[in-house]
Amino acid sequence: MSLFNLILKSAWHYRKLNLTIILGIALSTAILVGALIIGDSVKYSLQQITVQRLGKTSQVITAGERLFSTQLADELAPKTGTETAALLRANGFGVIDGGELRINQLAVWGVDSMLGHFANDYESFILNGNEVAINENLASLAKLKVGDEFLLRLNKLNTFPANTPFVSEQEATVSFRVSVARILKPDELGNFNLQNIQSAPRNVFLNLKWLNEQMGLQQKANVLLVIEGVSDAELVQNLQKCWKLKDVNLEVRENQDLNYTELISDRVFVEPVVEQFCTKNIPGSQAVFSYFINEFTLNGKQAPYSFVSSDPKLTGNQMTVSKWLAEDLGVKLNDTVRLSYFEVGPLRRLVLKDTSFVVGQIYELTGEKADQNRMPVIPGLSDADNCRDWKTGVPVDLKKIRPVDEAYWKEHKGTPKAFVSLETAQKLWGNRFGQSTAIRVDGLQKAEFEKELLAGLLPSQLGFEVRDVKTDGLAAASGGTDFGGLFIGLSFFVLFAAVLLAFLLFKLYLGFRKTEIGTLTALGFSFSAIRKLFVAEASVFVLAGILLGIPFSIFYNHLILQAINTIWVDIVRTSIVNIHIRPVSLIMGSLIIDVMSFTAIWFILNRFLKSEVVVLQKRTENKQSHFLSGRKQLKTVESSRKTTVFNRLQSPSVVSKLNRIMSGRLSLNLGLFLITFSFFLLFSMGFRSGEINPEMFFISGFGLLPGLILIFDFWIQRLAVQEKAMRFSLRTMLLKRIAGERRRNVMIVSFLSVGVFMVVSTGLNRKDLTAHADLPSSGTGGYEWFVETTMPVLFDANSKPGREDLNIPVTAELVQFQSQPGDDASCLNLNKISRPRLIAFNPAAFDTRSAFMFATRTDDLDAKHPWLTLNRTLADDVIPAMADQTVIQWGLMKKVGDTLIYKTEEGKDLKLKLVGGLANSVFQGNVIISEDHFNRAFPSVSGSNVFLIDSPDNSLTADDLHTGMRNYGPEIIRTTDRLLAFYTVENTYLNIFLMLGALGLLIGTLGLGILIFRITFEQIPEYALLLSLGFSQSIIQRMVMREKFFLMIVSVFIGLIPAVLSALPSLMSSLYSNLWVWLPAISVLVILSGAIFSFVAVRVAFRQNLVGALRND
Amino acid sequence: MLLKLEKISKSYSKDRTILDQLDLEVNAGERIAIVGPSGSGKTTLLNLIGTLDRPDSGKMYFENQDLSEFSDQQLAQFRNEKIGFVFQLHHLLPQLTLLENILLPTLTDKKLQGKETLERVQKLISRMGLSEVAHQKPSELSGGECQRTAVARALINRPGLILADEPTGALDQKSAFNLTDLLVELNQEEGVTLIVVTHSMEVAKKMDRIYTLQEGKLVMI
Repeated sequence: MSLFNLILKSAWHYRKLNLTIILGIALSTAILVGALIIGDSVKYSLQQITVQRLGKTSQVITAGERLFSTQLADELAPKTGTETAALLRANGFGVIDGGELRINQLAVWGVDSMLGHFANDYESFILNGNEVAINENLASLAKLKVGDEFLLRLNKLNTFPANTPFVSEQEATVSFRVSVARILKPDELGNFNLQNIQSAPRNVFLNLKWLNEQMGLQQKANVLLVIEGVSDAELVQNLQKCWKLKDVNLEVRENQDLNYTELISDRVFVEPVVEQFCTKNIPGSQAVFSYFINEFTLNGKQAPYSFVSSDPKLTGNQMTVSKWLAEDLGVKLNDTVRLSYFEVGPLRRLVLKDTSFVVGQIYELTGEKADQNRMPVIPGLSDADNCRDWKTGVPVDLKKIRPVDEAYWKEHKGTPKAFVSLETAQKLWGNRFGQSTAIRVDGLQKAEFEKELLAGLLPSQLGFEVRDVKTDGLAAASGGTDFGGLFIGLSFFVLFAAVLLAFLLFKLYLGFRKTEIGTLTALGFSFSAIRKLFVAEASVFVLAGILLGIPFSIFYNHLILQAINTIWVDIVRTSIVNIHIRPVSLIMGSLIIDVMSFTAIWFILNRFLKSEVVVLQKRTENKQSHFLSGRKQLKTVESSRKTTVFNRLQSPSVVSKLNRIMSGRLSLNLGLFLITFSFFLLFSMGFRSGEINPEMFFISGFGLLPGLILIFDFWIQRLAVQEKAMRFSLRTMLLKRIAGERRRNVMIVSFLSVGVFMVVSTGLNRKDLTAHADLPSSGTGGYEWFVETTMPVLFDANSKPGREDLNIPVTAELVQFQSQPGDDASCLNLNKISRPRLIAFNPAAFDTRSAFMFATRTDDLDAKHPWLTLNRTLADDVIPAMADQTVIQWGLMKKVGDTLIYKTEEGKDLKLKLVGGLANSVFQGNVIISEDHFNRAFPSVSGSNVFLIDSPDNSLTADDLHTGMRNYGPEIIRTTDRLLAFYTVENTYLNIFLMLGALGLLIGTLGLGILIFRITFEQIPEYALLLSLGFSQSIIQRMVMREKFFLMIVSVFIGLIPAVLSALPSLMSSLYSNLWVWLPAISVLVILSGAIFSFVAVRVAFRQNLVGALRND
Repeated sequence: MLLKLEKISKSYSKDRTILDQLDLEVNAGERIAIVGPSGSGKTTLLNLIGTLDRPDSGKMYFENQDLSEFSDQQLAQFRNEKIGFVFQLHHLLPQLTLLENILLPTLTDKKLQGKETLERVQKLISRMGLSEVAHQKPSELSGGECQRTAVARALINRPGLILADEPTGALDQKSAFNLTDLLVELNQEEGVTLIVVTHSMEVAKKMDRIYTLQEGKLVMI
């Protein structure tokens, strides 16, 4: 016989009980390791989604709104030694079944066979004519199959920004019918997406060349993909070597007659960065600014629609006019001629202005003055054969055009009729797109000019950006929401209950072996030796529990992932979360359970040896303490050992009564204080200017809970003190039994009521977003509709023609936002986002109606007019920005006061300081700045695609908006519904907590069952006695069950009352009417499971040899 | 004849017969002592008489009623009305006072909770010398006081038979003598029949008849 044998034999002898401990530990292991695996699985799945959506793409080259030549990809490939693909990306919407179904927010990709190289499938992207390949997500949404046709409408891409002054917006979209040739699976690059988001896009792939043709483009692209194998730095270097002027929409042309070389842009205006480079680095370069004016006026005579150009030799308000104009208007030297023109602002806002000039010279329309190249290339205008064919972006009154004007156009086209100083031209007509329409250099060869430009300009200055999307995507997938931690948090109550269960089982186990421990002590085993013996024995079942728990954890993980992929899909927004097990998580989880188990075992053993065994040794000295619980026995032993003078003078009953009264009063006073304080908080702060303050309700409930537990404790103590006054009956007996086990009963009630409170109050505490949604201070800003269009609305929707075009009544309030694409930083995206979508607007609209509320502020935020802060520029050119506090905190993992860095179109850093965090609003996922700052940083971004609309009389319906905005592919949603969509995530988390919490409560009641089991077994002699006194088994069982029922009901009530109080705002909400169901559900769960466990315990106890319990020791 | 046992047998396993064809007749008011070594079956016999257990075979009559035909419910009522138990350990409920512990058997039937019972309990408390400690709890009293309370509890319903299983086993010598005397006095005063299982010959000698258990049968000494 060795100690090892003893351990094994003991483990085997108590195998039934050990098995329950093993199961308890296995359950804890399953929950903890399972939660860690969930974290691994979600992370792994996000990474897989990233790999799937990018294929072999490593880096991406984009140029903002700019289109570059597809040849850039061809030239870059051999230089970098890797493969590249040029893509043309456009937004669009599909009209299916003759308009029965419209699918917005389509990502349309012009592709060629090269994209197949990124998907290991060379065939997939070989598309001819109007053939399209769509991804499964779109096919499923639109119910499209191979062979189906639908109408595709796209925003027409141009080499110039859509809102370039004078360019007609009639060219903004293009539509054509397409035929579905292929439906691509995710692993066929069907979900190709450059945004860091797990949800599948709605992809349409078209032949690149064909798409170019439909848009009137030639070999243009705006996305360039690079396969793995080249570093970012190498790519940037090679891009510098490969780029051509046509890739940045620049062209150098020579005029040998007039001996100059000039640089012009497809974008009408030469970008400031290019102009600055030329004037600084190319000797003799001179900016030219030509502008389309409405009319010249002199003495009541007008000459309409002409070009005016710049002459560097002029200054101030000097003007030279052509002889043609002089004759037309009768201009003489020193006459003052008035020029009227449109100043074109953002969103094509036109301001009619006029300025007067003094005529200093009248020139002949010959030589350089007759140079037609002075007229910039403006699509729709400069290429028109006659004035009546003009398609301009500004209103042209064709009635004003005279035959002489037509004749002039036919002969001279847009040759300027007058010149003003460059300085004045730039001052009057300079805009966000540029300060010149050409850069001229006399005598410089075209090739030399081009060489200078290509060598001196950096692609990054012109909007080119190289992004390592694979690395960024994988980092975003890894750094996002930690589902492992999240599920440990959500499963906390289950985990706690499981651990508690294991500990209770171990304590029960020790209780069964109390006599054995006493024997070992009597045989000379030291406490230390006994402890070691039991720890060694415990290690057997801890190890067994962990080993058993690991497969359980995988099963638990399967269950949770199944739920995540189906009923809880709102929290992940994808249905492809797959299990992934990392050995390190298994080891870590097992180690945590191991450490927790041994710490608990050590603690329980120490306490047990110090209390129970001491009593055991003393039992022979004090046999009448047979019925007393361990703690009471210890007290009795101690009191018998330490008889003091005080004890002799005062009878023990007086002392204990005094103690009970004192501690009873303490419980009462403390309990009443907590209850009073809770209600004081509720009534003083629970209602804020007529509105319910849910946080205060929660705090009040939280305070009420211990108050009620203390009152229950007082009541039990009161029972004990007032026992004599009670008429002795079965009911009295029941109450006395409860009072007699005060500590245990208060512990049971505390444990269960806290559990009920935590689960119910947290699970039910939801925010009602529909309440007061019409108030400007709410998360809707008081607006009714949130609209996102697929295609940008290029004009001012608040203008009269704008409202007419969109069918928006004049009474409706409308705010439109420009946007710069970025990742979705809302709670709908699990990835870690560093650059959310930027949206910009005129903050005056929100300032006027004091819209939205700020959850957090910085000192920069103006106290009275917080929204107007957005118009300011802070120190070091930092721009103020705002976002939802949730986005700042969870999406960006930052705080107000922090700075976000974006890149401007010129490749410069755009520093945005988060000056305020909005309380939950419809802007979740976006960063907001003012339109002034936005237009400076992103001049090429044309139009707006986000709208907030409110009609005071609620007369504007979704159908009205759909009708008015149908050409823009609108996604129309009520602001309240948009908020609810965000809260669906939060509410799903709450549902998970509620469900796992209920599971935890169930396990908790199982633990309680064990406690009841232990108490019941300890009370076997009592039952035997009652049996001997003539009590029938059924009476005894009824009595015990009533006692347990009473405790369950009290626990549920004590837990529910504060829980209902704390969740009252949610419960009263019409939005969450189904929440009330949880109250009886949780109550029944606790009461029923507690009753079942109690019943089983009592039944098992009665199967024991009760009579034997009465036998003499 | 108060109690009659006919050919009572009881065994816990095939190899171990505790009581074997045991016969016993007890008249009302008699005092019987059963002595014998540990494991001879004394307590088993007492539990059978007290209907806490049922025999494997044989008949048991109480006041000419065949107890083997009683249901569990009837047996519980029978115990409550006719039998009083006194154990080696007092088995008082710690949460109840002495008075309440004595009244415990009356809780099974409301008819037993009348004025008469209160007078009875006062009398018993007084008789047992427990008047001053009637409202104390067991943990606050001596072993002798607790055991006297247990005797009073056994007598509260005026049973015809008191079954005492080593009633003095947990007491010191002086308390043991006092309790034995008390039991004898109560036998005489109340006319209650007394069957005592004991190891102590001094206690046994105070009984009318003394039996020992040998090979599962009662043998008179």
